[in-house]
Amino acid sequence: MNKRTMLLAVVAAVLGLILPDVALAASAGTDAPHVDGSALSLIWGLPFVGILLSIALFPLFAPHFWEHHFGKVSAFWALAFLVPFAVTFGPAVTTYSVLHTLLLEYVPFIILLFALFTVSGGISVKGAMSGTPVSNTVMLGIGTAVASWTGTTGASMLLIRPMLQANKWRRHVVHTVVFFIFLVSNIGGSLTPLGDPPLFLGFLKGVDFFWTTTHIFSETLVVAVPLLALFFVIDSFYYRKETNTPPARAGGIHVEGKINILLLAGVVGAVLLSGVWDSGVSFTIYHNEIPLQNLVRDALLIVIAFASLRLTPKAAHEMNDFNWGPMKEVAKLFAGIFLTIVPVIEILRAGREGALSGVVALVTRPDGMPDNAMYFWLTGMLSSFLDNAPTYLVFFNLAGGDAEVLMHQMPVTLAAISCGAVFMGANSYIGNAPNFMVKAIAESRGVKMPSFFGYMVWSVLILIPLFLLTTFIFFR
Amino acid sequence: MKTILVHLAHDDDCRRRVETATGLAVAHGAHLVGIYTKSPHVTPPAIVGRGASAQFLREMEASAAAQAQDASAAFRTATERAGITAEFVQQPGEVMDVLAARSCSADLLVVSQTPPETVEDVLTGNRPDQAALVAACPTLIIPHGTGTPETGRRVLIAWKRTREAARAVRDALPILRRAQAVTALTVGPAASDDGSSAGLAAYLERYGIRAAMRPDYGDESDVGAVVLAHARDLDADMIVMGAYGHSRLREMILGGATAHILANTTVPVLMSH
Repeated sequence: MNKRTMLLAVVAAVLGLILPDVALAASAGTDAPHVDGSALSLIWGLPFVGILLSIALFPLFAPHFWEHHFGKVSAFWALAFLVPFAVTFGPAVTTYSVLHTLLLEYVPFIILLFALFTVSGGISVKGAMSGTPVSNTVMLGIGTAVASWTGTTGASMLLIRPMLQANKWRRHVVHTVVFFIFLVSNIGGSLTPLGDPPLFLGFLKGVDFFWTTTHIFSETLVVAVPLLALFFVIDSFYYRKETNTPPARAGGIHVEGKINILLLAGVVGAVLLSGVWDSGVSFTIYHNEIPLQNLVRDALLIVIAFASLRLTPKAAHEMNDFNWGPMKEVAKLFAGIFLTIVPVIEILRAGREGALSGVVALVTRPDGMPDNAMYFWLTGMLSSFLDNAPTYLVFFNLAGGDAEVLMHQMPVTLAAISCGAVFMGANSYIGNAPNFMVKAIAESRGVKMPSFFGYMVWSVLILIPLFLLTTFIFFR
Repeated sequence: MKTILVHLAHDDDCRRRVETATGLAVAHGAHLVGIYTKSPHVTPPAIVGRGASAQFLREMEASAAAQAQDASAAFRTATERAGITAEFVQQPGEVMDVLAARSCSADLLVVSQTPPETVEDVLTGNRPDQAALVAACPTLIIPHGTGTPETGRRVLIAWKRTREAARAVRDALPILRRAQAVTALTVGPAASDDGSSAGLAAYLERYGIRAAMRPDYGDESDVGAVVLAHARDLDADMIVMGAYGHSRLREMILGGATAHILANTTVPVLMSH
C-alpha cells in the first residue's frame, strides 16, 4: 500500500469511527470514564521519563542502535504504560484515555507537522548575500521573523544554506552558525502556534492563535534584539580580522517554489480558522468531543499538503519513498510520547492531591501564587535537554491545564512556560531538533562546529544572562 | 598480491591511508579499490523521530554527493599519479558490513586506527580498525595521525604458535618477500619455548625469507606493550600478528594484547583472524 492510500485509509477509518456515533454534543464528555489522578502513584510516570531519556541519551551513546530500533523503543515504553494501565483501570478508562490523547493531540499534531513538512519543503532559497556583518545580521533578523510562520525547522532549513554560502569565503563561521541556532532555530519560533511544536500543543489545548504573538512579543524582543546586536559586534570583530578577500560579486537571492508561500498562508489560515470559528457542531467518539472546526482544519491541512506536492513538481519528485522516512519517524516517536504522558498529566491535574505535589509546591509561592520565574526556568531547563513539546504539556498541566484560566488569569505563568519551552531549546544541541540539523549541515559544508559541551559554553555565556534578564523584567 | 582495498572516508587519516595503499599497489603491481561507504540517505541519530524536514534531506544529499565527488577526485588524483589501475566504489551501508563483504575478493584491506566516537562504538566494535575480525583477507591498520606512508621494509612478526598468527604470516608472505629485514618475536619464559620459532624460520626460509629470531623471555602478561617496545627498538615499519586469540567478549573484558596494540601502535599493523 503506498503512503497516499495509507493516509486516506487512516482518514477514512477516523471518519468511519465518527459517523455511527455522530451527536450534537451539548453535554458530551461529562460522564467520561476518567481516571482519578490523585490515586496514581509516581510509578505511572516511569514510561514517560523512560521515553524522554531514551530520546535524549540513545542518540548520544548508542547512535546505531537508536537509528535502527527507535521505533521499538518507543513501542516498548508505550506498552509499558498501556498494558499495566489497561489491567489496572479496565478497558473503558483505557480506551477513553488513549482516544483522548490520540484524537485531540497526536493526530492534529502530526497532521500539522506533515503539512509544514511538505509545504516548507517545497520552498528553496538560492543564491548568496555578501557575508558582511550587516547582511549576516539582516539574514538572522529575517530568519527570526520568518520562524514563527514556517516553524523553526522550516526557517532553519530554508536559510542555513544561503547563510553558509554567503560566508563561505570567511574563515570564522562558527559564531554565525551558533547565533543562527539561537535565533532562527529556537527563539524566532515564539510568536505563533506554527512556530514551535509546544505552542501548537498549547493551541490545541485552547490557547488563542495570537495569544503568544501579543503576550510574549516583548520577551522575544528582549532576547532577540540583544542577540542580534551582539552578533553584529562579534561578526564585525572577525570581519575586521579577516584576511581572505570576498568574492567579486554576490549573486543576490531568489526564491524557488513560490507557490508554497501561498500554501503556507493557507496553513496559517487553516489553523487560525479552527481557532476563531466556533461551529457549535462536534462529534463524539467514546466521550471525546471533537469540534467540527478541528476536523475541517485537519482536512484542509492534508489537502494543502497534497496540493503542495502536486504543484511543486520538483519536490514531488524528491518525495520518493525514502524521503518520507523522517515524517514516519516523527509519527512513531510521538505516538510513544503522547501515550506515556497520559498518566503524568492526570497526576499533574490532581495538583496538591497528586503524587507530584512536591513539584506543585516548587512552582507555588508561599502566598499561593504561581512562581513564574520557577515556571520559566524549570520548563526551560528540561526543554534544554528533553523534547520541548511534552515538556510544555507537563508544565501547562502543572499550572492547571485550563487554557481560559491560564490566558486570562495567569497570563504571566503561561508566558513563562511558553518562553521557557521555546527559548531554552537553544541551550544545547539536543534541546530542539533543528539545532542538530543545522549543525549537521554546517559540518557537511566544512564548518568545524563545537562539540556538545563546546556549544553549551556559547549558550551559557550568551543565552543564560539574557534569560536571567528576561526573568527579572517579566517573571519576577 | 593483486587486489588491495582501501577504506575511503572524510577523516584526517584518509590521505595517508591512500598513500600507503597506493605505495603497496605500486610495489606489488596490484589493482587498488577505494571503498566509500558514506550514504546520502542517513538521518543523524539525534534527529531521528524528532524533526521532519524535506529540505534537510535535500541539503544532506547535495552535500553528500559533493563529498563523494571530492573523495572520488582525491582518490583518482593519488592513484593516477602513481600509475596504477584503480577504481572508486561507492557502496552505501554500514562501514564494517561493506568492508567485510568486499574483502572476500581481495588480498589486503587498508584501514586506519580509529579513535572511537561513542560508548557504543567501543562496545559493539563498530570501528574500521577492528575490520580484521570480520574481513576475509588480512587487514593493514595504519596508525592515527603519525608516521610515514612507507611500510613493509622492516617487518616485525609477533609470533606465537596459533592459527591466527600462522595465518597472518602466510597472508603477509608477499610483503615479507619484499622486505629488507624480517624479525620474528616470541614472548614468554625460555622454558615454554616449544620449538615453534625454529619451525617458523624454516617455513619462511623455503620462501627465501631470512627471518631473525628474537625471543623475549619476559613476562607474558603484557605482550602488547612488549611487542610495541621491540617494534620501536627495531625501527620496524610493520607488525604482523594474529588478531584476537580469544573470543571477542573475553577480549574486551580482559583487554588483550591485540586490543593494546590496536590502541597504542605507532607502526602499521597487519592482522589476520
